[in-house]
Parts: sequence; structure tokens; C-alpha cells
Amino acid sequence: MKRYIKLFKAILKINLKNIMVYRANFFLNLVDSLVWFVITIIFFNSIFNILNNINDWNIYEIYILIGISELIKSLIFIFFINNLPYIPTLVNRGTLDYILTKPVNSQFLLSARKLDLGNIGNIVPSIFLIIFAHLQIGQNISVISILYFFILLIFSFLLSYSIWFILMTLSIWFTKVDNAHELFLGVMPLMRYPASIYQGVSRIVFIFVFPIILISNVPAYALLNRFEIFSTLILLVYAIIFFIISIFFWKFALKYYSSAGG
Amino acid sequence: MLKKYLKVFKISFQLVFQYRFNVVLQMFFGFLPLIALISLWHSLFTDNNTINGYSIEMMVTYLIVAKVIDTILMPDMHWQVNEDIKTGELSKYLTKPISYFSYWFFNSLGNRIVRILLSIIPISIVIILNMGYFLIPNNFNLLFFIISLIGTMILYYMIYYLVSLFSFYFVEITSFFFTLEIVLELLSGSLIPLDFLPNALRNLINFLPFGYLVHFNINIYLNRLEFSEILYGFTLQFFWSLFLYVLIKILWKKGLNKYESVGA
Repeated sequence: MKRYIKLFKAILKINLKNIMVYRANFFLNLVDSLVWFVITIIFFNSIFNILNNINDWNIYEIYILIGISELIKSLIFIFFINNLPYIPTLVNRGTLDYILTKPVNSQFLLSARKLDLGNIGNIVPSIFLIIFAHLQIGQNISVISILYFFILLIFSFLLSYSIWFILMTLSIWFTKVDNAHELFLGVMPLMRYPASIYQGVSRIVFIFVFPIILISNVPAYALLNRFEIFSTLILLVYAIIFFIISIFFWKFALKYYSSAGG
Repeated sequence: MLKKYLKVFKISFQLVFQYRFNVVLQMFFGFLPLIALISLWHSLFTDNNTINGYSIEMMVTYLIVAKVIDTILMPDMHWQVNEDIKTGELSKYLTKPISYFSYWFFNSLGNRIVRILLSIIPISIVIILNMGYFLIPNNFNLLFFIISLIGTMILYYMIYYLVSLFSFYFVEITSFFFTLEIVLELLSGSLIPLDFLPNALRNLINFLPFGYLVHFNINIYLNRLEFSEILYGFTLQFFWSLFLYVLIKILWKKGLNKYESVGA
């Protein structure tokens, strides 16, 4: 474990050295993200101008949900957007060797070797929105709730990583072209709505099969002092199960890789 | 001997199929956010029969038709134009006896037909899933709706071509393309009908061409416009396209001067 922390520090150091490269990227991301927030807020404000709530969520609670979805999105983009989309290409072109020959866990190295620090630009408005909405709600929040929120955030992070990783390993066999990645990006906008709007088939698909909705909703419950034990349990259990599946899938992919003559 | 050629044929056929399959998948994924939007409105309509003059049927139809218009008519040639200008590939086209503007216009026309074919399946699935909610227009409105789509196609093209010419002046324009896309989604009314937007923004939109890309067309489809309003809309689609075309001419001439003085 210590070795990995050290390794990650080294990766971070290399990436920070390149921070000047990211400077323009950082500001472009910031502008893009600000525009996105303004549009999303106009969208929800337009609805709230006419209606008082969306399934018992008031406008500031929705803001918190939006903020959290963007926060999680930015976090996983920082770590994985430069890595995970390239997995099928690496495997299918046989250029994986230089990762496999390193004396560390290949899944770890494959997943987080190139950071995209430009995405930090997206985090700033997310946190600002969450704090702003919280002040508007005016509810006191305990240190325990905040701690609880961060723990859930870690599980959400783990779950989104695992889903993304599983999709990428699956696409090694299915299409042999890296567009499972598009599927993951396609479902991300679903995170910004309350889980309760999804009914019927979409509820089953996006909570139980492809649990993308809980990723944003469950941490939001912690900040809003809502205790939804069932969804929280699903998030925790799914995060662990999906992570284990991702490890198995990767092992299987490696077998496929070596038998393909890599 | 023949076997060898058959193999080559098979491989090339597979390549085409693989490529198409990817595009089809991408189309499918593109429809996922629509499912979220429709779910959202379904839950909003559980306590209300109409919201802001819209029934649930009208809203579901609105969102689906908006997605169809964007999927089929939104241009994507600006990426390539940007690439051509940045890499100098543009020079290749300048020697050809066809103007760059018309080249891309006809190119994207063909592209539209491919997109119609590719999007038939996901569109049908969404419509079947919302069977009881999807409205069909009367013949009269359908005809005007189709005419308005031609207007949208031309207007969309003018907007994106104009924007892609900014590549003459700015190096990092591609991230602006993404931003433009999300801004247009709001201002054209494909995210939410424009009558829901705050008054200040609606007044602003009245002075912009974007409302005639999606919102106007669906209002014809939903039978919400008088004949005179439809004619007025067509006129505006026409004059906005013309105005943008003039801007394109000016920007193209100036941009080309800059391009040639750098390149040659």
C-alpha cells in the first residue's frame, strides 16, 4: 500500500511539473464549466418559476445535487479521462507490455498514470455551488454529516471508476473500438436528477443494473440530512462488488492479451 | 486466387460494418439524456394536468421531436473546417473549382441522409416507449413542419460555418465548439420549450436566430401557431440565413487574407 502511495505521489509530481501546460486548459475548462452551470441553473430555475418542487426537492437541494454530480464527474475525469478510454487500443494493438513489465499492479498503473489536472477548473464552481446552496437552505450541518458525505463520495468515486473500467474492458471484446466510453459519457447527465424521477424500466436499469443515479444522489442525501438507508446500502455494496468485478475482468482481459500473442 | 480477393472484400465489408455499428451505438447513447428529461417531466406532470400551457403529451412530443431535429440536422463539419484551417489542408480545396462553402454544404447534405437512416432505430424505440404520449400532427402542419426543417438545416449550417471560420483567428477554438453546443441547446429550445425561460432571456432570444432552429418548428408540429405566425417564422429563417451568409462572405475574405499571408 505504501508503495502505491509513493508511486501516486511520483505520478502527481510529474503531472504537477507540467502544470504550465495545463494552464490554458485549466481556464478553458473553467469557462466551459461556468457556462454549463449557468445553463443548467437557468434550466432548473425555469421549472421552479412555475413549480415549487421536483419530487420534494426544492431548488437549492437540486443545486446541491447538480454540484455533487459535477464534482464527481470532474474527479473521475482528473484521474481517468486520459487513461481509461485508451484501454482497448492498448490491448488490441499489443502495446500494453511496458505497463505489464512494471513491478506494480497493472490495473492501478493503467488507470491513473496520466492525470488531467485541467479538470480541476471544473471543481471550483461545483464546490462554490454546493456551499452557496447550503447557505441558502440555512440548515445546520454537523461535522459528522460532512465526514459521512466524504466517505460516501469516495464510494461514489469507486463505483463510477469501476463501471467505467468494466465498460472499457468489455469493449475489448465486443466492438474492438473504444466507444463504450461514449456510453459512459452518455449516461453521466442522468446523475443530475433526483433518483425518484426514474420509474419503471429506467429505474431498474439505472439503479440496479447500471447504478449511475445513486452515485450523485446518495452523497447528496448526506448533505441534506436525509437518511435513505436502502439506497446508501446499495451504493456501498455495489461499489465493492463492481470494484471486485473490475479486477476479475482485468485479469481475464490480460489472459486474452497474452494468448493473443502480446 | 479468387479466395484472396474474396477475403479482401470481406475485410473491407467488415470494416464498414464495424464503423457503422459504432456510429449506431453512439446514436443510441446520444438518446440516453432524453430518457432522463422525459422521466423528469413525467414526474412533474403527476401533480399537474398542464404546465405553462403544455400537456404531458405535448411535452413528451416536444422533447422527442427536438432530439430528432438536433440528431439529424445539427452540423458537425466545423471540426473538419477547423482542422483544415489549422493544418493548412484548406489550400488543397482552394485550387478546386468548387467553393469551400458549397463543398461542405453538400457534404453535410449527404451526411444528413446517413444520419436519418442511422437514427431510425433509436427514434422508433423512444417513440414506442412513449406510445400513448407521442402526438402526430395533421397533414397541413406536417407539410409546414417539413418546410421549416429545410429552413432549420440551412440556418444551422450558416451558424456553424460562420463559427468554424473563427478558426482563422483563434488557435484554441475547439473547446468553444463544445460551449457553443450547450448554449445552443438552451437558446434553440431543445432543452426546454422557450416559453419556460425567464422573460429577460426570452426577450433576448427574440433578437437572435436560435429560436428558429427547433422551438419554432415544434410549435408548428404541435399546432400552436397561426398561419400568419408560420409565415413570419419562415421569413425570419430566410433573413437570418441571408444575414449570416453575408457575414460568412466577409469573414471568409478577411480570414483568407490572413491565412494566405501566414501560409504562403
